[in-house]
Order: sequence, then structure tokens, then C-alpha cells
Amino acid sequence: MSGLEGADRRRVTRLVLVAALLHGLAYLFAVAPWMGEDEPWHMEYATHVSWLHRPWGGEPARLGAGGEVDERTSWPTSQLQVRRRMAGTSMEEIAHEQGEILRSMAEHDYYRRVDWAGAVRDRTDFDQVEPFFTATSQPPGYYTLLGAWLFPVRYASVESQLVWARMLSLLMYLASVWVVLQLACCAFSDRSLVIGATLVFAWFPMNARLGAVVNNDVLARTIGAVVLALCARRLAGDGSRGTLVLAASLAALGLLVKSTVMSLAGVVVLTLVFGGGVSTRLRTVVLGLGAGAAVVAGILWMWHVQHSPVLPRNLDAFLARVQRGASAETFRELWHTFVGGFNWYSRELPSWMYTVAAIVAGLAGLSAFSALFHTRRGVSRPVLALCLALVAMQVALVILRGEGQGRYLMPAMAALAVVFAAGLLAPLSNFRRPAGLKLLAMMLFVYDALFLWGGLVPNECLVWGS
Amino acid sequence: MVRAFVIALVALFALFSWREDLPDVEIRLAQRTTQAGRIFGDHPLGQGFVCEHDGLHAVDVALAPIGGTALALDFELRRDGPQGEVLRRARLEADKLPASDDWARFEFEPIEDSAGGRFYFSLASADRNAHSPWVRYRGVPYVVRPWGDRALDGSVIEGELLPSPPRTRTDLHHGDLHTLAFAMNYVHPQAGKMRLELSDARTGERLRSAEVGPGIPCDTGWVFFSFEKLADSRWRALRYRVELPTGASLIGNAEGPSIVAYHGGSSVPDDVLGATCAGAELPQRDLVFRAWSSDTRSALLARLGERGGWRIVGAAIAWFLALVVASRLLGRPVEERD
Repeated sequence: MSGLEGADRRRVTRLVLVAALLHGLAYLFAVAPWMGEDEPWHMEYATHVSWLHRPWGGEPARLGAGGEVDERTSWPTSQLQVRRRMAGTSMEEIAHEQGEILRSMAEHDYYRRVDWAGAVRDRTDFDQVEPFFTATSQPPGYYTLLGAWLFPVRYASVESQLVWARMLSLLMYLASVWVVLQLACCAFSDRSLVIGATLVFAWFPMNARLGAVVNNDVLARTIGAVVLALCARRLAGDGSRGTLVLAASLAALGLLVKSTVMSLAGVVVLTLVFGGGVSTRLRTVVLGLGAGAAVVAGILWMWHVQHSPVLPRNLDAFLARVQRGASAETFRELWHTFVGGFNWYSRELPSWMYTVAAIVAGLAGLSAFSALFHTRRGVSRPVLALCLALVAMQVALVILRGEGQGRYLMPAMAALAVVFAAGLLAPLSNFRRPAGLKLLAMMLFVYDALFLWGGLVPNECLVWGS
Repeated sequence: MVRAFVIALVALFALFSWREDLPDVEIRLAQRTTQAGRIFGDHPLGQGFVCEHDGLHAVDVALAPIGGTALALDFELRRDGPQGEVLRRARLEADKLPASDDWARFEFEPIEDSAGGRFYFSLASADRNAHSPWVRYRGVPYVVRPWGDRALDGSVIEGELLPSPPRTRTDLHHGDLHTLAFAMNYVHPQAGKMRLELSDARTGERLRSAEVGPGIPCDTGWVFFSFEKLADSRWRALRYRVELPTGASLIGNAEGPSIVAYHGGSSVPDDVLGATCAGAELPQRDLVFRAWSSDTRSALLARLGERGGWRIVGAAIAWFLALVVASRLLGRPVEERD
């Protein structure tokens, strides 16, 4: 029983999807070109894939420290990094692609919007926007998918390709919303809680905005929602063992998308431990852990050979990273960029909004945690525990990575939605929950209104630098 | 539907609340790196700009207190340029100047017909002031060595810009090097020229030279030596030699002088017209400032329409419809209604 049955479930699904589509379209229209964080680099990577360049086995740069040839004197490092990844690309091709994107960025006033980028418009390579940076150190999963999506429009202008690529993000946003509705049906047997969780996910502004930009966090978020929903289904007793195999496979696949989905391996392990029958549990757990360890080792090796910045170079670097990750400054940045950051995080919402959001989130988190120990009607405690565990693991990953960017929490966004709904609505009596849902929805709508029309649009359209 | 209209009103309120926070022209820098230095008595620093709207009534200048005695700053606004007609005057007394890195606001009677006009403002001080305006140089900056902790003695300072290795990070990351900024301790207004020579560190071949001054004083600021673009500057080893006039000295640290390299293009929006010192043009740079004109709703909407266009209209329609549809989720289940 999910609290949504028969005709009502079909109606709610339909309304949720239509509302999410319209909401996603609003962001798709509102977000100006190249305003997604690191969007030019992600597009560059995917564009090369769309031209059927394999995202592995490229030609490394000849550095020749003190030797005959040092290619860094001839080409920008960002272009050499692309060649190192993409098989069969030429430097001229890479330079041309960067030039096209930079031209478009200037035409669409990127430099007037992003305060740290400086106002100079005529730039010739990506290093001149951000030195020593590339997307090609990221795993190839997202770019392979996006490259295939871009294949039919590879001859179109870079602006058209950007719109087309963003539409894939919109589709993934819609798919994620549907998955979260299914997840909520596993987590709750109360209609208000199900709708509340789905609305939190669909209306959380930075999540909706992720449906309008090109970024591998988009796919990481979707995979996170699907794996969590599959595991929740297993915990709720609806799923077969095949469900868990599918979840484990997706979690492994997710490691080819972004390192931030590493937490999903923990979700699968927890489901293995707590979700199977007693007789088969030990064997399943041992086999699962063995296979999981092998997959993780393989992925770590792949990240290593791809020069992923996720892996620290030595123990000192790792410790320094953890120290930085656990600092108050990192948590502040994490919170601010999760609640609302604009123009590549160079601008923020009014400070009171972060405080209010922190208070609401703190109350919801504590209340949801207490639901693990007190009966809350209509709440599946195993699923809620799994969601809380995923949120904790996601935050731990951010600390290990040493960088507090809100979008790194997105693989746990579905879990956060369940935790919010459970924390804010579950303590209410059944009679009061529909009213509580209305209040929660109003809070979300007002937050979204302030974010979009008091933050995103003014910062992207009204306040430009000269 | 009523719920959607209420939320839409909140959205409109949120949007229009920006009305008074929209500068007409603004130089936005997330990280301010280069300051002009103290303002000398008879060498006011100035800046030109084009105003977008009518009602120009204030100019903010980003100032950093860099030590010494704070003195009042006199502001003049002229039409067209440094020699234009004086339109407005304002004065900030010493105790009104910012105690930390912040904007200093110069307010004056609104200029009703400022839309599209070219304006020029200057800041003057009776003597060397404790406050330095920030300056933005037009180029892609790359900090070789940040502002140091000591004055470097000597009228000739030499050193090398090197790749990595031996440096942990290359000194010249980009091609098209066109300017080197050096942190300057002090140059007297009557001092002679400063000169920079760049040569290849391996062959010794002389590549570029540049001069600054005379008549451009500097106290605790950055001096910009610009020259013809050096296309193949990326990861290159260059040798520099800075010749200073009597009494002048650079700022640096134990490793050498503080340097910012500027590469690439220098094209910026044409509503900023460049900085001046005592009326003389300071090429390729602007004071960090913002100007304020109309704060009407129509000005806000005009800007929104011009910059957002149909995209924003589409976003508004989709967003409102999303609210209407989502609100229907909050009703009773179909069984109950049946």
C-alpha cells in the first residue's frame, strides 16, 4: 500500500509529470546559455564524442622537461588534456571547438555575468577562462550518452547543440521525478507524504535548475534516484533479487559517470545486508561485497589512468583534502551552493534565506531521524533509514573530496526529498497531513519564486558587469 | 489558481525588489588584485563611462585603505571627458571614507537627461591619501607573484619568468603576453620614466620593451608595462629588467618582485571609457566603480526585456502553469471526490 492507488495514482502521476515538465521548461527558458557551472567544458567533451572520437586512448602531451619538445609551449594545457583523452582528435580540431564555444560565450554575455571570469571578451582557449582545468579528467559515462544524443545535431551551431543537450537534462529531470514518485510510494503509505516527497524533489530549485544545464551531475542525480528506488523496493519487500542485481549494476555503472555516486555502493551493500532473506543473506553478502570490491578497484584504476582529480596523489594530499573538506568554510560553501548560487556561484541569495533553509532542514533532519525510533504512521523505517544513510554517506564523500559544491549532493537528492517529507509531515496526525502538505507546498513554491525571480533571473539578466 | 496567483505576486515582488539595486554601469570583480595606489594631491584619478538611463545621481568607487592618514576626497563629474563641463561636485570627508575594503559613495543632484550620455568623474585629494581605488586592467590576468611583504632596493631589478620545472607552477601560462604589472612602492610625481626590458632567458635576444611616465606617480599600487603582444609566451623562459627612476622602488618578497602578467584580448563592453591620471589617459584600464541612475520599474523591465527577451516570457508562462498544475496535486484524492 502506498497511499496512492488505482485512478488516483494515475492522476497524481500525470499531474506530477506535467507540473515537473512545465517547471523544468521554466528553468530551461530562464537559464541563459553557458550559465551552468563548467558547461563549456562538458559540452566540449561531449561534442568530441559526438564526432565519434573515443573517450579513451588519446595522445598524451610531450612535456620533455628540459628536453627537445615541450608541447605546452605550443598549445594550451586544456587542449592538450583533451587530446590526451579523445582518440583521433587533432589539435586544430580541439582548438576550433574551444574557439566556437568561446565565441558563443562572448556573444551571450557570459563574461558580463560571471564575476570572477573578468570582462574581457576575446579569448582564444579555455585556459584563459580557468587555467589548469578540463572536463576530460571525468569518467566518460555521461559524455558517451550525451555524445550519442548530440550525434544527430553535430553539424548544427554550438548554440543549437547546447539547447539540444539541455533538453536531455530536462528529460533526465522528468525521469528522476517519476522515479522519486515510485521511491516515495515505497517509503510511505500515506498520500500526503508521497506527494510531499515528490514535490520537494521536483520543486527544489537547484535540482530543477540541474534539469536545464549540461553537467555530469545531472546523470549522477538520476542514477542516484534509480538505485535508491530499486533498493527501497527491495527493502519494502516488493522487489526480487533481480531488483538488487539491477541496482548493483547501475551503481557500478554510475562510477563511470561521476565519483560522487560512490555512495550508492554503500546503499547497495546496506540493502544486501538488511534486505535479503535470512537463509541466503550470508552468501549474498559475501558474493556481493566481493564483486563490489572488484568493481570499485577497477573503477579506481580507471580514474587513476584518466588523471582524475578525485584521487589524491599521496597521503599528505589526502589528509590536507579531508582537513579542508571538514572545515566550516567548506560546509558553508556546500550549503550556500546547495540552497542557491547563481552565475557560476559568483552570486548568492540574501543571507537570511540560507539561515531559514538551515533551520527548516535541521528540523526536518532531526524529526526524520527520530522517526527511526518512534512509530510514525505510514513511514517505512527501513527505507527512511536507507535514505538517511545515503545522505550521511554523500556528505562524507564531499568531506573526502575536500570541495563543498552543492551539486555534489545531488546523487542523494531523492533521499533528501524523502527525509524532508518524513521529517516535516510524518509527525502530524493523518487528519492534519493534507494541511501540512499544503503548507509544505506553499513553502516550496515561495522558495522557488524567490530563487527564480528574486535570484536567478535578476542575476543573469539585470546585473551585468562592464 | 488563487494559490498560483499569490505565489506569482511573491515572484513579482521579489523581482521588483531589485529596482534599487541595479547599477547603471558597474565593474564587477570577484577578486580585486590590482590597486591604483594613493591619490596624489595634484594628480586626480578619473574614469569615463556611458550612462544607460536618465537620472544619474551617484557614483560608487571601490576603495581600499592601505595605511596612512585618511583625507577628504573631492569628486567631480564632467560631461564627455576630463576637459568637459563640470556638472556636479561632491565631497566625502575623511571620517566618511570606508574603514575596510568597500565602496565609497558620491551622491549628487540627479542629472535628468543622462541616458546615452558620456560622463567622466575624477577623485582628488589635498595630499597623498590613505585610500587607494581598485583598478581593473584589460587582459587575462595571471598572478605570477602576489603583493609582497617588502620593498626591493635598487634602481634596477632583474629576474626571470620561468616554466615548471623549475617553478612549481609556470610563470607564463598563456600565449599573447602583452603587459606585465609590477607592484610599486613609490614613484614621485616628478620622477622620470620607468622602463621594462624583456629578453629570451636562454638566448638573451631582446624581445620587448616598455616605458611608463614621466608624470605618472604611484604610491603602493601597481604599474602596468604594456608592449606589443608576444604570441609565443606560453611556458616560456623570459628575463626581465626593470629600470626605476631615482627614489622609486618595487614591492616583492624573498623570491622577487610581485608581478601580474596579462595575456590575450582586451575587449570590454563599450560603456566603460577608461581611466585617467591628472587628465592623461591610462591605457587599457578602468577604476572599479559603479554608477546609479533611474530606479524605476520601467527601467528594470526595459533591461529585462532587452537582455532576457522571449526566454523570460516563456519562463514566466511555463512557471505559472507549473504552479497551477502542481496546486491541483494538493486537492483530495479522486475516490474521495467521487
